[in-house]
Amino acid sequence: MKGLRLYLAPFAPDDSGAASVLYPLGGLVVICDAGGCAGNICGFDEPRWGLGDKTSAVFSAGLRDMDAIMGRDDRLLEKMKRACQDVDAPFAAIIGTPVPAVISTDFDALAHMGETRLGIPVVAVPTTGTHLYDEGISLALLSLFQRFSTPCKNQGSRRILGVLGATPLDLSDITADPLRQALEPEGWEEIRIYGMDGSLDAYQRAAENTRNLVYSPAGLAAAKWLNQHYGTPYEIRCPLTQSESADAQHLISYLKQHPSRVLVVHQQYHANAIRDAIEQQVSDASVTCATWFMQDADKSRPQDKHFTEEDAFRSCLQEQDFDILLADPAFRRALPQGPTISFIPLPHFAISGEDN
Amino acid sequence: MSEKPFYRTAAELAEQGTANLPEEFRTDAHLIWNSPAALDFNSPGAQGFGVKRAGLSIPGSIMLLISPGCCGRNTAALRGSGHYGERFAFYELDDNDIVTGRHLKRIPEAVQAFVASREKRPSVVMLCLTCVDALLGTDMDRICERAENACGIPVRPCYMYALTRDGSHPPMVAVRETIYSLLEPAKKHPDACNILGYFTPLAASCELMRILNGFGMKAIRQLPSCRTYEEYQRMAEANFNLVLDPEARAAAADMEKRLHIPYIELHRTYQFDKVANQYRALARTLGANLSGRTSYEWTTLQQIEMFCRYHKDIHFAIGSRLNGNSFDLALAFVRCGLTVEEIFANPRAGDAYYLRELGRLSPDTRIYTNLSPSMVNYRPEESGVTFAIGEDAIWYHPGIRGIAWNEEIQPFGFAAIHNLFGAMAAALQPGHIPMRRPSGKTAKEASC
Repeated sequence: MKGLRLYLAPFAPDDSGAASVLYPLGGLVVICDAGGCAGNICGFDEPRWGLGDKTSAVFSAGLRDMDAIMGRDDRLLEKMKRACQDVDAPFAAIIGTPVPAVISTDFDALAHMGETRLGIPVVAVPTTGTHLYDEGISLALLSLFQRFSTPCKNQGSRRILGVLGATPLDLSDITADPLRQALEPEGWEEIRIYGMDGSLDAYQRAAENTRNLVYSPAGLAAAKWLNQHYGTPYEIRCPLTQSESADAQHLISYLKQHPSRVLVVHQQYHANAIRDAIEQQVSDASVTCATWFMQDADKSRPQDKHFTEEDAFRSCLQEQDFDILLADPAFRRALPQGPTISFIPLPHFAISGEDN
Repeated sequence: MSEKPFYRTAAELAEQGTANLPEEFRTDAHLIWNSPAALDFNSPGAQGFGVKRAGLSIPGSIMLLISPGCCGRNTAALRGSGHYGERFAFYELDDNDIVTGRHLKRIPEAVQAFVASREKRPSVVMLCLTCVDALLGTDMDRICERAENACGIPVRPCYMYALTRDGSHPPMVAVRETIYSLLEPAKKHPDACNILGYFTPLAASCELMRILNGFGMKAIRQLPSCRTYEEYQRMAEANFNLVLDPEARAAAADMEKRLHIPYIELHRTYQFDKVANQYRALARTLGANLSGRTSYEWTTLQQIEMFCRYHKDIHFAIGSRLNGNSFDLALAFVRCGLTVEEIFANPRAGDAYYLRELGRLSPDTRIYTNLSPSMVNYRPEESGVTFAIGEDAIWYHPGIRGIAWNEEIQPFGFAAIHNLFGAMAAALQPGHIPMRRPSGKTAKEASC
């Protein structure tokens, strides 16, 4: 039945994805909600929240029924203005949730009015809470680049790599160190990981990037926009970290001796990277990639799957004869009875909220 | 830019009164800072029970959360504890559902599928609704009726309407009404009573049970102690209800109306004399006798005196993420001669007495609100605090000694005071390791 989840809890929503991009930047981040969404984001979907001594500046708008019924945007802006007296923020961001979606809040207008009222840049991300995290990441990256990036004269003077679409929700880690280590041998003078590094400056100077690497489909729209506006070339690639490569190698060793049908479930480019690693060493490998999130048609093969419903996922496993399933541990619970399938955990924070 | 966190002294608040509190203490007047100290305000289930977990208090119940995906996200955290994972299912709404309301017609089918998917037939299905339906004005009673006809077991709504938390009927009040609404009229037993208010049982050390036994009560029931639906239904046999949390008052009033069970309210207080007075008043109401000091009172008094003798130099910070009313606790300490430097809590109308007394006895105590954006600027070094109580106070004061005092098993009465002072004394023992600052990670583990 469409929408019914009997075994799988909801995945990270778009507002969490947007917040994960904005979180490290030190702005005044306002979740436009009554409280619960901000609680979900910080208490569950943002593993960096509350760690260490750095205080986050994520706020709930504290909407009440009459705010929603009357559409009191001016009241929200007044609250933000007051908060700016307490928080030294270089910019403010407003993230949408189901409440503003239901009352059709005009986020562009809100951002515009906010800049006038607050005297600092304001970006608004029109997420709705009904979509998935990668759409929120995509919207937030685009909003930030569109608002802050400027053309530069010295493009190409240094070898700079921009990484787009990598936040803890995909990396399943609170640091980007393993990813950075995987990229360092390529000889970049600077690696800017948008969504992980705490610098608004990297957005302002995005036009300097020599090349952008699209780590997940969530980064693709921003990469295309930067390419269109500054001519920055981009490549789609999800480099496996050292530990991910080691895990893949274990599987490859097994597959060399026991030919098997494998289903990999993750964000599309990560699943593809695992398939590529397998196919490089196992000539007759049979690997299908699947995702519940954005699927880039140019990077998928005919047999690849895109799931939106739990029923379809279970039917696929029931009907197709996979021997091995690589997926987040949360999927174990949704396995249908009947077919024997070996389950290999492949953590994806956006699914289970569990990190590596 | 202001670089100081907002606070008012007890003397200032006592003078202003709870009717004229500064806007910073009003939750709808400013942005809410989402720090670990404020997590359970934004997400009431972050510690203890929110609507989702509370709605599953009835033995054998299951819950279908009908909402956009974002509302059910943190439910994944319940997967590991108490088999909650088996008891939840989700009906995710998309944009079209919200615009057209088409999902409402499919709810009975979803409930049927949910019931059929569980190995054991559930006792009741709770339908949990969120802000979206609050705005759409969905008539859930009618939908529950249809779902009930479809699946053949009771179906009830649970309203997780964060938008209405400051209203006259907030979600945690409504959910208590819902979970007792399934009780059906039964023959009364004069020696039976219920304890209402908490979703976890009273501590075994609590003297209340023994006092009630002494008054002739033989069957003292608490919802969290009911193991079966049949046991839960026997709560309707009670002669009276004892309400220990004001949020259960509406449920008790409803039970009085429907089931003719009257109720008596007792407050959780850490003031020794108030506990004694409450019990004496309860005895009078029930026509029982409770004269002289009981052994519970003597041992508690000794515990307090011992603590105050050895630790009179302690300077306390008292939070609100704990089992108790922060202002009551502060007043209890001050009346024992202890020093309370800070309280992290939002005063409510019912706190007027405490503020008045604190203003008189400890006028310089600083009262902060966890929710104010200005708390970003809070610096513990300037506070003079040497001991923190409550998860939020510990978060503000990393590295000093303290206790969270927020366990799920509920403290009450003399035993609560006795155990609190005992826990503080233990935390002050040489070699005791100071509490670690609660992180987002620990919050997440407890979440939902």
